Amino acid sequence: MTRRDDSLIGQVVAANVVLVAITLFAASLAAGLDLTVSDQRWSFLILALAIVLTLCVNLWMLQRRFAPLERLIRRIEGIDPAEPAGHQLPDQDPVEEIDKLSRSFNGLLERIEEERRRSGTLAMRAQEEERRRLARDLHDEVNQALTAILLRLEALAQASPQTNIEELNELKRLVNQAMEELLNLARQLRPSALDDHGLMPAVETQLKRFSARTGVEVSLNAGGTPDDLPEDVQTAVYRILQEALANVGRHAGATAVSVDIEADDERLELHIRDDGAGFDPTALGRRTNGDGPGAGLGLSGMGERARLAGGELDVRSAPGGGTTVSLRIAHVERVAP
Amino acid sequence: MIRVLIADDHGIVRSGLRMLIDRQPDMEVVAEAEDGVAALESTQAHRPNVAVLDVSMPRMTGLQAAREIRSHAPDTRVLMLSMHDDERYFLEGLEAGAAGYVLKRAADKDLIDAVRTVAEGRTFLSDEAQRALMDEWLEGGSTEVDDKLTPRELEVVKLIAEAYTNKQIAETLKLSEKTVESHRTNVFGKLGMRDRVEIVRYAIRRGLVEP
Repeated sequence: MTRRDDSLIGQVVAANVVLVAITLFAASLAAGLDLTVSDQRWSFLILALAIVLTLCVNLWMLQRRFAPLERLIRRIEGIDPAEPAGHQLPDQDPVEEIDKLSRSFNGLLERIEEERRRSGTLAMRAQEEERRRLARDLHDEVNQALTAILLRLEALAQASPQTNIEELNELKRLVNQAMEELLNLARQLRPSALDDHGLMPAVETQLKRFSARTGVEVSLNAGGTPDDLPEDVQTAVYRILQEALANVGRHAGATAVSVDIEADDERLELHIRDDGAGFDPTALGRRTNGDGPGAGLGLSGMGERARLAGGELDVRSAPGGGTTVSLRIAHVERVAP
Repeated sequence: MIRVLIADDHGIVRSGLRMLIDRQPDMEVVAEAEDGVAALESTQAHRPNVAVLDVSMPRMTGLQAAREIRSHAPDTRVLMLSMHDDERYFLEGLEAGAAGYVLKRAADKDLIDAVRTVAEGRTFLSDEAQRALMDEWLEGGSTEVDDKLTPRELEVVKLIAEAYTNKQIAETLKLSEKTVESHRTNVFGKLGMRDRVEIVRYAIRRGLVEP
């Protein structure tokens, strides 16, 4: 802590200096001491020494009394704002006030974390809801209109002279292509299977499509009842898997990916292992924002999703040793809507 | 003449369907419906040969409507029309008793064929659906049969997969409904399955029903 003139300890010492000086001045007046009289100078010297001694003792005592406060300040400064929950202050301190301060500070941290999770969850939900709506609109409105166009083009083609057929077929092909692109877009936004069938069927489809697109072999091991998890958690699992697979497809150069999901009412574990190139996780930590090896992996987003779902994300990798992304939720919480 | 009912909650799709179907010399559209409930009512009123149902409709989904039509108007063949090309949606369609499944984006080349095919009493699946179900069948092909189902239970599985109700299964196999119910419970228990879609998938894998 920097010592400035207006620090608490400085102010107390200054106040004490003034008080002692006034007391001594009054005492010397009352005793009728006179500095000009030579045999009274000894008395003055003793008084002066007494002042200095008093102040030293005062300073020493104050510093001792204030030490726990500075300790507390150092601890508070050491807290990582990104993970307030992981840095509780120790509850026990010999000084009662410090103890109280620690406790109320811990309480504050808890409330902040709770609020952060709640608002984060709400934001995530709002985002998913928006994506769902967009996907549905693409599906239900735009694609239905294209379906109608396709049907009418076919009807027209059946009644048209041969000369127009080629052009009509080309038109149908274009409509078809547009429909397919819209479907892919809608699926990326939010697959309807996630809402219609639940997590596992959506995951199976996602893996099949990933394998068909990239040629990477996939295997899925599922146990327990992942489909019974709360919707927020299902979405988190789906999105983390989506992001992890995207990374495998983009960076890993893997030939095989295995996905394990094990869940019951209380807890969940998800592991995504690939046999690809891997990377150096320590290099990743240093430059998540730059364009280093870890940039664009979306790990912080995955981590945030994991935290909001009440779990932890763990990424293990080594150059040449593949990558394992794990999500563990020890206690599945149900955040009220 | 093939008499066709079309049900879709989007007016533009219905008019497109009507335009194309009415153009065929051997087909006519006898009724239109904008949701599942109306589709069921129209089917009972008009007794069409083929009901073309959109999978997702308000009030009653196409799937539910297909089930109802299957039990209330068994002479009408159901053709599902859908945007979805996930395997599970095909299976749901078959499980609901549909005789065909056509993707909307392949409707231009498939729809008319599909209507004729199902009207003749055969099954029609869009290419994508066939491929997905073939994959399913091939994947399961290697895992050999060791599920300890009795021949009678296999018969029940086949009929469940073909969307027969317990009562219909009982009539077909000349059993009591109670016996059918206990067979059904055993089958689900032995296979560790939770819904009929999984049974359909299993039945395809075992070759009990054709994809």
